[in-house]
Amino acid sequence: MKQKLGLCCALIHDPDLLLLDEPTTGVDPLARVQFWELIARLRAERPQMSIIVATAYMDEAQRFDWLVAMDAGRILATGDAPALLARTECDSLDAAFIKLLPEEKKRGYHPIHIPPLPAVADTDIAIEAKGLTMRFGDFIAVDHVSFRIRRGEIFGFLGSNGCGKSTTMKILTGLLPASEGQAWLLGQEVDPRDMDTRRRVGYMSQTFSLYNELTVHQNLVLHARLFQSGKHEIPTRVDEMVKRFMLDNVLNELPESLPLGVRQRLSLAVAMVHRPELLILDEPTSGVDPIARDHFWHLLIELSRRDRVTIFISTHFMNEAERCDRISMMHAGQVLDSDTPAALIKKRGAASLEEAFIGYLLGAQESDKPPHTSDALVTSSPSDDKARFTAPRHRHFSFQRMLSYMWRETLELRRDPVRASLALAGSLILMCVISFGVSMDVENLSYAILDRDQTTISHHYALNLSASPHYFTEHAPLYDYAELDRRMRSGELALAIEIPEGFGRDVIRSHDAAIGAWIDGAMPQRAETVQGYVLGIHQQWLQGRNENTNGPPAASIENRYRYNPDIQSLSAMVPAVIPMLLLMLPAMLTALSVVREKEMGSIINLYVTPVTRTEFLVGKQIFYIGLAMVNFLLMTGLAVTLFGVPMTGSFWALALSALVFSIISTGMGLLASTITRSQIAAMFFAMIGTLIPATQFSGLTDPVSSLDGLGRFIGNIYPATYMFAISRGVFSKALTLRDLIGSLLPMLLSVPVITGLAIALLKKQER
Amino acid sequence: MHRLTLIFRLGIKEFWSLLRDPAMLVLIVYVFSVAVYASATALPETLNKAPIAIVDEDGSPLSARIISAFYPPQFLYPEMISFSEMDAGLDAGDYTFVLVIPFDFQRDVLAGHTPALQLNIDATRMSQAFSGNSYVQQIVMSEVNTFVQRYRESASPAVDLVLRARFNPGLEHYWFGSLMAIVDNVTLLSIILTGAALIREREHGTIEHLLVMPISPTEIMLAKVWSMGAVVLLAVALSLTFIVRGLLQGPVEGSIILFLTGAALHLFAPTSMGIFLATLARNMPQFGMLMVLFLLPLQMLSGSNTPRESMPDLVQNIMLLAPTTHFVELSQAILFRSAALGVVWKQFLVLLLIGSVLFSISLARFRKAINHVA
Repeated sequence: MKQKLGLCCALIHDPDLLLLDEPTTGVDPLARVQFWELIARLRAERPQMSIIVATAYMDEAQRFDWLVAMDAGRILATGDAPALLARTECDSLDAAFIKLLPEEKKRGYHPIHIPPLPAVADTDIAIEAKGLTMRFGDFIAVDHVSFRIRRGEIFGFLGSNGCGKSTTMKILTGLLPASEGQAWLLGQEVDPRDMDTRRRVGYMSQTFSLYNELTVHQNLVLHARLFQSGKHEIPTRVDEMVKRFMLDNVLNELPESLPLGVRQRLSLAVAMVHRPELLILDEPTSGVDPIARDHFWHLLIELSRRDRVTIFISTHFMNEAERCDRISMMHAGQVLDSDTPAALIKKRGAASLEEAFIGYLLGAQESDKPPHTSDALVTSSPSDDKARFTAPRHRHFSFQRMLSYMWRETLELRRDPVRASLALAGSLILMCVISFGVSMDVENLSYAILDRDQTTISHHYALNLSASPHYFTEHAPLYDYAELDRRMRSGELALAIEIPEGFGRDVIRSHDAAIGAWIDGAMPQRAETVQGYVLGIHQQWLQGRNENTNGPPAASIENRYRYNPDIQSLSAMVPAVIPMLLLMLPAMLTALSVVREKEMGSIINLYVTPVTRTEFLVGKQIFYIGLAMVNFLLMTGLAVTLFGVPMTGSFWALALSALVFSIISTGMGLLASTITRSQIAAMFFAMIGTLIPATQFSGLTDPVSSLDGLGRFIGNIYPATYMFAISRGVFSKALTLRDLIGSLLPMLLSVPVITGLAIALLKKQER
Repeated sequence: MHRLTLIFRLGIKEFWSLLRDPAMLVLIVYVFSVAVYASATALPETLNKAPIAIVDEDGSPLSARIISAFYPPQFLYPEMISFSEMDAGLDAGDYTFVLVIPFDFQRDVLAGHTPALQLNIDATRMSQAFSGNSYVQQIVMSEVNTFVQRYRESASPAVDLVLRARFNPGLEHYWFGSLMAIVDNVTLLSIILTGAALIREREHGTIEHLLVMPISPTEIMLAKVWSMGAVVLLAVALSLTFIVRGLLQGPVEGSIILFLTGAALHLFAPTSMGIFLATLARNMPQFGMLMVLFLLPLQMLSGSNTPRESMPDLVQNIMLLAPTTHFVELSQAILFRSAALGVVWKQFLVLLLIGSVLFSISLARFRKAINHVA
């Protein structure tokens, strides 16, 4: 189905040249037949269309008008199928291809020969399944599957993609618990906690799943150890595997650098390293070339016939299925039939196994659903020709193409709950955390007094401290230095005041006196605040005493805390946090959008379709700008309601600036994603590129004018600097658009620079 | 015993995987060297080049004296402006402070009328506003007092307040910044490393492979926890030795062994959390985002950046459940105040408790999730 969809997408604009790169790899025979029928009809309808196909299936190649046989980047032969067959004097293309290969590749190759299976008692059963059923929600992946596999047998599982082969195998290995039914391995009922049976089974999964970070040798040793082979036995066993599976010359290589065929051999070696009696192989040869596949089968046959290992293998290659002692044909979760390949062909009255299988499939499909012939797919008749899509002349910028990218992003986010929730709730959560966490208020500091004087004056001094509202909280008094040391060391006290003996007397006699204040300096910022508070209270006390004796002081200073008269940390933090999050989160989300396509391969659409880089990037960007603005509204709403930070200036001025700023932050995200290759890298890049300049150099705590050198330069050109000023201006300073022009203009200037850079750096071709 | 060797072997495998992942290696090195150094030096020293303007309506020798008392590094040289320019300048954020010296200030001072100066402070810049305010007060009052003393003798008794900062006498910011960065990074890295190790196995399909082998989920998880924990501990020890003691020449007072023991105990919690998040996320990017959502609160509200007592009560109480809160308390006590086990045993116990609970929850979740992995 997926392949058909891919074909439809490629055909949507009626191309004259169609390129198909292995369009049917991993597709079951019936679907393949249907796919090629579809192509044949298309060709009949549009004779002017040329098609170039790459394939590894020789039976498909048979049908093509003209063939190019290739190996290792070189052309081996060209011509139509009969010509190639004649040239190589072979009767099948498979054989012809092998014959065409250069000598060194063919070395050691000989056709498969399978010795007959020695007679085995029907009671000697290696695997038995009874009524196995697996449901995922409403979907039934495996539907009452039963079979018995005798010891030493090669048993094949043949079926279309998604028919439940892999699921059945996973149930047998204990990876998945069956919803219903029972299964036995080597006489033991399958139980994921049964470690002893696991030691007797080897498993190889559909995709290569060994450690890419470990060398070939390390992989073998690790698995031998994990299966708890005896310590002295491991080196010999590993050597044995290396020889048997021809891995000698790649021992110290990483699997990633090896060709697929060698990796497949390594997987099998690993699955065999602990001498299992039973091998479960899930499509071990898909994607492997014919020669390597045959090599692989030589090994399997040897294991089965010589070592009497039971092999349970799934495949979608007909010629592989033919080599099995018995096969089960699966479709839509059900086993259609099980028998020897020859018997199945005979039952169906077919000429080949493939034909028999297609017969079984068609039979099953007819009973499944009302007959839907694939003819329904073709609806366009020649009379429709006028209404056909005519390719417009290529324009430089198309709104339609741009909007379709925007739409694509919307759909994607809707289907990814983790990203969607981060996109919407993330900013609110982080806003709460940062606003509470980065508090500049220092309150409720714990202190205690060591009063060695105990006079009215010392009591008065102590009272003066405890009377100061919410700065300090008094703890139980101290009695000696040891206690002072212990309680400060545990962090209980932030401040200890020591009033020395004779303090009251000295003050009355106007002698010089001193009070000691011990401050916990572990947190310097807090210590500085404490210092300030204590000094202030001390001055106050002094002044109170002086006024009694000396008259008023020389001058006083009236503090006017502007914009935030109650000096609340929240009122100062919230207007700064909003721009910070409006920068970081949209940048991160946008950064993922392009790299994601790179990682998934869908970026190829940018390379092969007439979409321009601008349409591609701007389309995506518009969506994230919209998202950023939703976030802006949510955060502003939270600020004025939950946090109770009043907005004194013009909301519309702030909204306009936020819009410009969102364009900038998403642009930075695009920039990060055009120059990186992996999603993780893009995310880190976006985070570091936004968070550090915004928090360190943009006037979040200290204004840019207080910075030096490079920091100051960055602060002056970084757009966040201006957004902080605007946000604070609107929230706290009652400013309107007219006052803010000076900050808005530099931001506007940076928009074309950032977006332009992102577009320029995005490659229109793969590197 | 057999099980233990198995867990050990699996852990060794994690080291190999890590060694071949250059991005992670760069991250580890960066986080414990450059990032520590940066947090040490980036924290602003008390007051640096605060922008100030002065409206001098008096134009007297005394006002000239006050003006000349403001200079770098604490303040920029004051800008002289008129009263009418003050509001616009503050609105635009050009100055954090504007000091207004009224008409006849000097005359009133000498006449003993106690005239008032007006100090306008842009309170949206909290940190400068706070620390700068007391500096301005001190500077102005000392200038005024010295000026006055030339004209009349003062007979007030000197009651001195002797301030002594314990544990960090110079109130050096770099010391606090670097050590707290290390403490924060312990949590950060242990979540990332274990989470990424699990996701990597899932993306490569190797976890499936492990599960068909005679190994239980508990063993798989323990292997990741011990190996990644060991990497973090090693990095911490190196960072303390070479960056804090070596490069920054900072004193590390307490027992490093005790601190590392505490860190080892703490590691159970974030490594388990990493595994938990990795089971929630389907791929690396999702994991990265979940991590941001979990990590920021854990760190920002733990007390490593700003003191806990100034957070709202509700936040303080909720954060008692977080391992980072206790780890930060423990680290500050040991590293800054040289506390011994007798002082911090409570935090050790709480960490052990939180770690075990988180480990069990993650294990349960991991067991359940691997069924869907396959």
